[in-house]
Amino acid sequence: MTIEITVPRLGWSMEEGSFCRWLKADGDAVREGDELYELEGDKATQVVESFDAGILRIATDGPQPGDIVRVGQVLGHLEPRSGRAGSVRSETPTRGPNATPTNGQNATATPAPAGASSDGSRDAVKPPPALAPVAAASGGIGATTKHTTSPRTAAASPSVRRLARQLGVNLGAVGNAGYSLSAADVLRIASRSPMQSPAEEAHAPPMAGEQAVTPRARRIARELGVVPSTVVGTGRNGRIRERDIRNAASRAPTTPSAGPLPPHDVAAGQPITHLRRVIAQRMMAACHETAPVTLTARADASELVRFREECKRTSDEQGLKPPGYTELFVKLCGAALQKHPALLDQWIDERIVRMDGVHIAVAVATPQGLVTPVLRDVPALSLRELSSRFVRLIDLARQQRLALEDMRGGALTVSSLGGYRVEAFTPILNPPQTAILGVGRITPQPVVKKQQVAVAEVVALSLTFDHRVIDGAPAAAFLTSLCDMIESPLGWLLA
Amino acid sequence: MATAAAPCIDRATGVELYRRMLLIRKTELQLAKSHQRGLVHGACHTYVGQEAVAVGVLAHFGPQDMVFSTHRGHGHALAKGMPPEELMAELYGRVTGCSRGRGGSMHLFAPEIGMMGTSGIVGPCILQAAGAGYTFKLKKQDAVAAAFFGDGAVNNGAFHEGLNLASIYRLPVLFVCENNQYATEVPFSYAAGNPQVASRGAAYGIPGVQVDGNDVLAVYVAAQEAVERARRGEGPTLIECKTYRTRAHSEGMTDFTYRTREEVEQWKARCPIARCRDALLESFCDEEPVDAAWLDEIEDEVATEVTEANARAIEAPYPAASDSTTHVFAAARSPAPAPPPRIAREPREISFVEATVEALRDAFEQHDSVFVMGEGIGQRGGNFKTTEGLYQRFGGERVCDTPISERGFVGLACGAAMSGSRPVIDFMFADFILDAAGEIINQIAKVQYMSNGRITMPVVLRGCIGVGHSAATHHSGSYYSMYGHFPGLRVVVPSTPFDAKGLFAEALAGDDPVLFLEHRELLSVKGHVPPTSYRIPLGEAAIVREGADVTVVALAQMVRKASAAAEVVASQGISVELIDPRTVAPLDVTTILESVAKTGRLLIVDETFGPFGLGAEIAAQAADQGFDDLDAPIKRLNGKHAPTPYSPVLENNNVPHADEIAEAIVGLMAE
Repeated sequence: MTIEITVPRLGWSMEEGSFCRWLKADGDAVREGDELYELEGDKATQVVESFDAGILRIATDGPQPGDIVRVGQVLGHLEPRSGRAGSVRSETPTRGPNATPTNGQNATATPAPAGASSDGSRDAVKPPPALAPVAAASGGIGATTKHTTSPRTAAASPSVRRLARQLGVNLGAVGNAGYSLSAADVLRIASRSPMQSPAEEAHAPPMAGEQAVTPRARRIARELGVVPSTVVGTGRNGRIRERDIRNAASRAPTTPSAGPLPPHDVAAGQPITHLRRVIAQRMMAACHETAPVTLTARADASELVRFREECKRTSDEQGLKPPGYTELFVKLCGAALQKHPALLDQWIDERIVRMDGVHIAVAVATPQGLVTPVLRDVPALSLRELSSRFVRLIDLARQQRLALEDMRGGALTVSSLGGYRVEAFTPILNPPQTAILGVGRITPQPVVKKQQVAVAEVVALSLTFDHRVIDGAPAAAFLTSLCDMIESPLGWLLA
Repeated sequence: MATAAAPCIDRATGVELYRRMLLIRKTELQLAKSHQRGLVHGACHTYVGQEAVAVGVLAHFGPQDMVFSTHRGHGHALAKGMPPEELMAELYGRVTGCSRGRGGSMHLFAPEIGMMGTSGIVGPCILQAAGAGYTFKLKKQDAVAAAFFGDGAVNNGAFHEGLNLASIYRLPVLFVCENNQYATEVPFSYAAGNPQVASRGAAYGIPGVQVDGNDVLAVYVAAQEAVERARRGEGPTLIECKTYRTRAHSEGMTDFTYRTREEVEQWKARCPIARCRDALLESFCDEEPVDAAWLDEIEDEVATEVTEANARAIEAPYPAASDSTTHVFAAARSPAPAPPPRIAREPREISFVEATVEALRDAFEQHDSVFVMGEGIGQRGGNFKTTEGLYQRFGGERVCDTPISERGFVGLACGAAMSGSRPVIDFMFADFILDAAGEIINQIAKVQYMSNGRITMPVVLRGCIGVGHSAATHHSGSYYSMYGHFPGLRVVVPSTPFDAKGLFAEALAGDDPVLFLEHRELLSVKGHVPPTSYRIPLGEAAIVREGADVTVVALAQMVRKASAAAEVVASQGISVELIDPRTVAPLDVTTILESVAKTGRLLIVDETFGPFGLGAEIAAQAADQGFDDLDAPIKRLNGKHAPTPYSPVLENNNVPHADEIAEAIVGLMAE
């Protein structure tokens, strides 16, 4: 029997992902447990192993590297090793809103920034061009990641889907909770949703679950790789039917060169990329489900700047890369967290859980988007070890090869906008983490020292914490300690 | 009305009667104890005090003779020869019970010994005994049947209809009324306008005898005469046995709300077993009195037998839970029928009803045990010519006219099938047999299951359904959805002469109860029908018309209307696949689902009512199993939910028409 290779669900909210590449070639013998292909899910790239054995058959018109693929979409087939070969039906490639040819071209056309990074320039790392990091693909809000190969998307009965339509709840964005959503779930979600102005609504791109889709159309869409939300329904009240899906499939371009979308088409809008949607979900979840308070403080970083300059000089002589400011702040945060373990508490599944290690996430910008790889056991690492690990994580991030494991388990995130003229800001939490530290630009400023005005290298710190988990005093105590450490850093940095 | 003559029996017989009564008494008292201990899971209706009736009557019965009994039937089963262990195990819910744990106190089946069953419903046993009598008469068997029932049954229609039918057909049946003076808790003196049951025999032209039901010798003698009369072919006898149950209606129920302790004590003093013992100890016609020590020894033997039987019954295993749905239908026994010939090659055209007559004639020729019963179906050949020519060829016993007595002859058919006949009931209009719905649903449909598959039920119930020609509300009903609801019934609703012949032949060849419902507006419709015998399996839908856009399921007359509608919409480019399930039970869901998988749309056109109907069932199945194939909501088009009126204007408005079907199809395409 021919076995379908389908796109698995890698994260709790994953609806679709980006196909990276096959790790086996057409015709290769595949054994159970063999690495089969790479798939980028909710920001993590994963090597997917085969559950089955057989001869790999990849249809020539199947998904190409960079294509957006829906959960459950057929990527290829495994034929029985011996005996009659099963027929392989070629799958029409996905032509969803996120699978426009330009998307794929962007991914490949952008020069690989990893090269720049490896050249020794830290600038690419120091000023991540985003306001806040995005949580790791899993572990968000205490959910257990389920890896499933179920082809079904959001599970909800027709009546619940109708209610969702009436209330404007986007079931596609809610994600698969592992069970069928009830009407109560939808009402709860609706009560949390931000008010949308009619204008915004008009421009909001269609999302899965908003329109009525017949069960048959849903099935055919899955088979043909059509995203129903891109299709105009011709049934009663705009219901999407089989014919609409088939028409859409036959209209879809078969090669990437078949013409880009008309530019600046305001009415059509820009499709929301997969990454953008995940970021949006994370940010909305953080806004709706945490009680954030942001504290700010200024610290004299003169000693820190002097130390960095020293490092840079000695490293240059030795032909090594010096640690960046980000690593210095991470190292100091590790020490401060040890001193104030209350910040290691996290709200998970209606319980307060203390993280069992001081792992710190760092917001890193990549051309594909923002990721937050985690440095483990920061207090146990020497500055040099920390720095080299960080460099490796950045390289992986640039190649989109960060594994889920590389992004899990952070206790606090460090997000720096020091490359810009940003003094202070209000970082958004990275659930389920309880705190995030925003680092502003280090600038010479007048300060008062021993009743004298002097010039010092000053940095503003913005600490957002979740008031559900901890109160203001421990957060303030943490920030105070951190400022102290910045002002006398050597002992902490060289510990 | 007569009174039994003075008894005179030999000593050995007397002792055997005594032993049998003791066996019943001791078994019943053991069951009463077991009920208290919680070993009996449900009801326990004991026979204590009435033992003389069963024993006195059934002393004349051999293995070929048959007993049909009521909810208080333990004594009849034991008197007919059931080992006490089987009775007790049944009440204990064990697999060694006489009904394999399916019946308990009220449903005792042992067809192997002629114990044809007891019923929780009062009355049907009277009709079933008449049915067995009909089988004996038809097959010229030297056997008799007995119905045992209480005084509560004689005010029930089944008593009236059953005695009358047995009388007019002169059936070899004993109707034994155990007048224990209370129908559960309602006194017979209150419930009966004429409290002399035996006197009612005169109303049906049969002898009615009243005896002291607590005097086993009196019962014995009265029954002897009745059995001999029956065997001589002189017809049935009604025997009223005045008796009393000295325990509660059912074990554990309160007893002294409707009768007094004094009354019960009075009757205990007239214990039939004590009286029998006294009689045996006194004198014995011409023989010496029986020795008391011998009777004591017998009592000890019986006590030991009951104790041991009880121990074995308690140790017996329970049935396997997985057996709870077996034997709803008979095991298929006929060889697979030859595939029906193709219609197109057959030049001959005959009407729907003629096609069924051909199948019926074939069945008559194949099985001597097939007979037809109905109103005006004898010499006249049936209101709709459903038996035309058969009376002349097969005679009045096999093509048998009935009084207007639907419950009577349907219940009779049940007993006839239980005893080995293959009855066909021609009820003319389906509306008429609603009076017999209890016999169909409670008895005919359930006997195979309750007897654990040991009794088959080859009963075919045929008649007309459907709206048309201003027949008005009592000649226009359908009812197939209702019958399709119950386990144990097959329901066939053909739409063409070809299907009618093949499906009727199949119904007649099988061992299951079949309702064969013929739409009256189709009876004269002609079609190609081969003269050869052929059968069409039940549960195979016909694809009347292949199509790609929408699946329409229609039955009977609606098949023709949907065909016309399909023609109309074809001109608009809509391709209809029309499916005729042909049988409502079993329903060929597979063919419907396959079609829906192709078209994605489903419309069910049903002449009769929508709620809980055929369309509801098909829609539910399609939504369940074919959900991912549906490209539109499932639609139903039904007749109006109102009784069928007379005026053509009103009648027309209540059933779906071709143009409405076409409109529904177009509407469904727009969904």
